[in-house]
Amino acid sequence: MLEIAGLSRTFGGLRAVDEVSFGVREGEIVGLIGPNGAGKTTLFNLVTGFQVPTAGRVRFRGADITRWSPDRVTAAGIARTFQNIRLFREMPAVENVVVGRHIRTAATLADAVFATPRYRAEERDTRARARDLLGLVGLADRAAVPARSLAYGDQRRLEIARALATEPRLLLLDEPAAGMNTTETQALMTLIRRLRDEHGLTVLLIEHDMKLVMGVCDRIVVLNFGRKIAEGAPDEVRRDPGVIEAYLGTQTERLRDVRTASPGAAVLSVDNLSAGYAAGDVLHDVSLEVGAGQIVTLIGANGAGKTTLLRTISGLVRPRSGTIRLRGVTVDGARPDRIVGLGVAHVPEGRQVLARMTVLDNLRAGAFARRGGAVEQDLAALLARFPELGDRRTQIAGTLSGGEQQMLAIARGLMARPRLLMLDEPSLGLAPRIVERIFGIIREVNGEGTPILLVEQNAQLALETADQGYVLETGRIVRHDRADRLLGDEAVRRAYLG
Amino acid sequence: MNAVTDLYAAYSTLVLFAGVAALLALSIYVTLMAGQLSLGNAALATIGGYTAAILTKTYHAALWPALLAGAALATVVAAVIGIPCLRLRGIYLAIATLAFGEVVRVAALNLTITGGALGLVGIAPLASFPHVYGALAAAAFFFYRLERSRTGRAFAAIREDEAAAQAMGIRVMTYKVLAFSIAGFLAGLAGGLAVHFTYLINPTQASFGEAVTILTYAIFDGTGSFAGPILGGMALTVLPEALRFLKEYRLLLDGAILVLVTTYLPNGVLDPLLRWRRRA
Repeated sequence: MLEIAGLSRTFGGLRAVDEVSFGVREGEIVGLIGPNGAGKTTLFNLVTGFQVPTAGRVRFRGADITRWSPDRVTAAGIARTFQNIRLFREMPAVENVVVGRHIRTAATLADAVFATPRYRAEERDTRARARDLLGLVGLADRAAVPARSLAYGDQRRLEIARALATEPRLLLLDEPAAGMNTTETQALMTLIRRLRDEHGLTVLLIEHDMKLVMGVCDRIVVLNFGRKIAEGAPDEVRRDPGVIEAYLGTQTERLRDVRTASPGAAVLSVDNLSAGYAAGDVLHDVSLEVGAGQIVTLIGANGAGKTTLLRTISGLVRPRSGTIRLRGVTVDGARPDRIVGLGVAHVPEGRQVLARMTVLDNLRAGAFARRGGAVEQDLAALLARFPELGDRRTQIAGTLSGGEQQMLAIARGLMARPRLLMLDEPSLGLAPRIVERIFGIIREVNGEGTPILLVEQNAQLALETADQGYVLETGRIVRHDRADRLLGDEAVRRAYLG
Repeated sequence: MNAVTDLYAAYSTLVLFAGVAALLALSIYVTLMAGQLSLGNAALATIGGYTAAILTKTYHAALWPALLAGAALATVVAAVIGIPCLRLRGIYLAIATLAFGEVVRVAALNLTITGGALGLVGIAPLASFPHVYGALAAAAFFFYRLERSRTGRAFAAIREDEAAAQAMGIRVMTYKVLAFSIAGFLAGLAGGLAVHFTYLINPTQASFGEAVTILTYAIFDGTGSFAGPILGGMALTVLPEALRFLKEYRLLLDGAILVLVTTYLPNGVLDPLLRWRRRA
C-alpha cells in the first residue's frame, strides 16, 4: 500500500532521514520506533508532504506521491496526527471533526449563501458523521467543549477522530499515547485494533511507549540517526542487539575511572515531589539528592517525566506537593528568576540558544543574573576552553551545527557561575564523536567542583559518567543506586524497551 | 415624526459614514477570519471609489453598475496582489499590503484620470440611506451564512493552525486568496458608496492613517462573529463626533480609549459582556 524507497532528507549537514526504504501492506499495523532525533517525525513529514525529500520516492496505492502538497496527500487517502497536538484550539471538539470533513464535502460558498438543498443535506450528513466519530473515540459527551479545554489524552483522541473524518485508507499516528495514563493507553490500543479490524484501516505509528508498540504492531521498523537499523516482528526487534544499543547507548572504549569521591553536603534535595500540568500529575512522589561535587544522572524512557522534574526544580512548573531545597533553602514554588539567582543553571532540551544572536551575545546573556564584574574574564576563559566557539564568536548562533549549539548552551549555563548545573539531553541528535566531546566537557566542569544533574536518554553513557543514578518510569523513581551498579541492570533495560 | 426626520437631516452624513465604516470593518474582518492581517483595505476602497466616481461622472453610468464595477476591480486587484503577498506571514504581510497602499496613493496622485492631488470633485449625490444600509444588510447576511459554511470553517481552520488545516486537505493558499478577494469586494463597494455622498475623492484616502483607522474597527471583535466589526465600525465613526466638544483634546481621548481597550480587553470590547451572558 505504502512504498518508501531510498527516502532522504538533509538539513544543513545533518542527514535527518538517510536512504530509508520499507513498505506497509494493506491492513497492517506497523510501528516506527527509535531514540529521540532518529528522524521518525521527519519521515512522516516527508510522506505527508510537509517537507520535501532530498532524494527517494514515496508510492501510495500505485501512485507516486513524492513531493505532493499535504492537501493532495490527504485527498489521496493518507491522514495524520501530530506529535505536538495541532488541534484548532478555539473550536469546539465537534467543529474540529467537521473541519476534517472538508476534503469529502463539496458545497460551495454560493450553496451556503443561498442555503441550497445540497448545502443543507451535506451539513446534516457532516454533523452526523462528526458525532459518530466523536463517539468512536469516546468523546461523545465532550462535543461542545473547546479543544483547548480538553484533557491531554482527550486531545490526542480528538486528533485521531479529526484525521478519521478525512476518510483515510492509511492513518499515520505520531506518538498517540504521549501523555496518556495506563488506562487510556489500553483503550487506545483497543481503538487502533478496531480501526484496522472493523474499519479496514492501515496504520503506521510512531510511539515511545513500548507496551503499546509491542502489543499492537504486526511489524516494527527501527530508525537511528536517520537510518533504518532493523525491521521485523516485535519480539525479534526487542532482542536485536543493534536496537538495544541504539536505545541504551554503547559501551565506550575508554576505561572508566571509577569515581570514589564521597558526596559532600546536599546541594539539591527533592523530597516527595508531585507535579505536572493542568491535565494531571506527571511526577509522583519523587525524591532525589545531588551532593557537592557529584554528577547525578536521571535516566528513563521518553515521557517518563525527566524534563518535567528539571522544569519543576527551575520553577517553570509549580509543584503540587513535596519540597525542593537548594543548600537547605526551600525553593519550591519560587519564581524561576529567584532560582537562577540562587545559582541553578538549566541547559534545556534542544539547546534553545538565542538563534538570532551571536555566540558572544548568547554567552553574555548567560551572565545576566550575575552581580559583580569579572564577566569579561569568564567569557575569555570559556572561549579558550571551547575553541570551537572561540573561532565562531561573532557567528549567529542559529547557524552553528547541533554539536556547537550544545556546547554554546552549556557554556552559556556556565557563564552564570552556577552552583548546580542541570543538563537536559545534552547528547540529543548528535553524532557519537561529538557526544564524546560533550561528555568530556561535562566531566571537566564537574572536576572543577560544579555539581551536575544530568538527564539523558543514552543510559549507558550517562551511567558511565555519573556517580549516582536514578531510573524514572512513568513519573516514579523505580531504582536508585551507584551509577556503576546500574550499568547493565535489568530494570534499566525494562524502563526503555518494556 | 418630524423630529426624527429633522434629526436624520442633521446627522445623515454621519449615519452614512457609519454604514460605510461597518462595510470596511467587515472587509478587514474577513481576512482576519482566515488569520491574515491586511492593511491594504483603505487602498482597495480608494480603487473602488475612483472607479465608481469616474463611471458616474464621466460616463454617466447608473449608481449600481458603477458600484459593482468598482467592487469588481478592487476584487481583481486584491486577488492579484494577494497571490504573491499571502506567501508572507504576520507582520510581513501587513508591511507588504501597506506598501501596496502607498502604490495606490502615489498612482492616484500622478494619474490624469484620477485628477491628481486634487482628486475628483463634484461627484453626483447618488448614494443615500437605502443604498448604504441595503449593501450593509446584504453583506451581514452573507457573513451570517459564511460563518456556518464549509468555506467559513476552512478560514477558521487556517487561522487556528495552518499546518493542521493543510493536513485536513484544505488548500490554504486558495482560501487565503478567496478571503482577500471578498475583502477587496467589500472595500471597493464601501469606497464607491462613500464618494457618492461625500461628492469628492482624493489620494489621501489611501493613506496609512486611513488603513489604521479601518484596523481599529476590529476592536469590537471577540464576539467571534460579524456583529463585532459592524458595531466597531459604527461606534468608532460616531464616537469622535460625539466627542467633538473636546476640541483639540479629542484625538488624545481617542488614543487613550484604544490603549485602554487593547490593554484591558485584549479579546475585544464585547468580551466581558459575552462572558457574563455565558455564565448567566
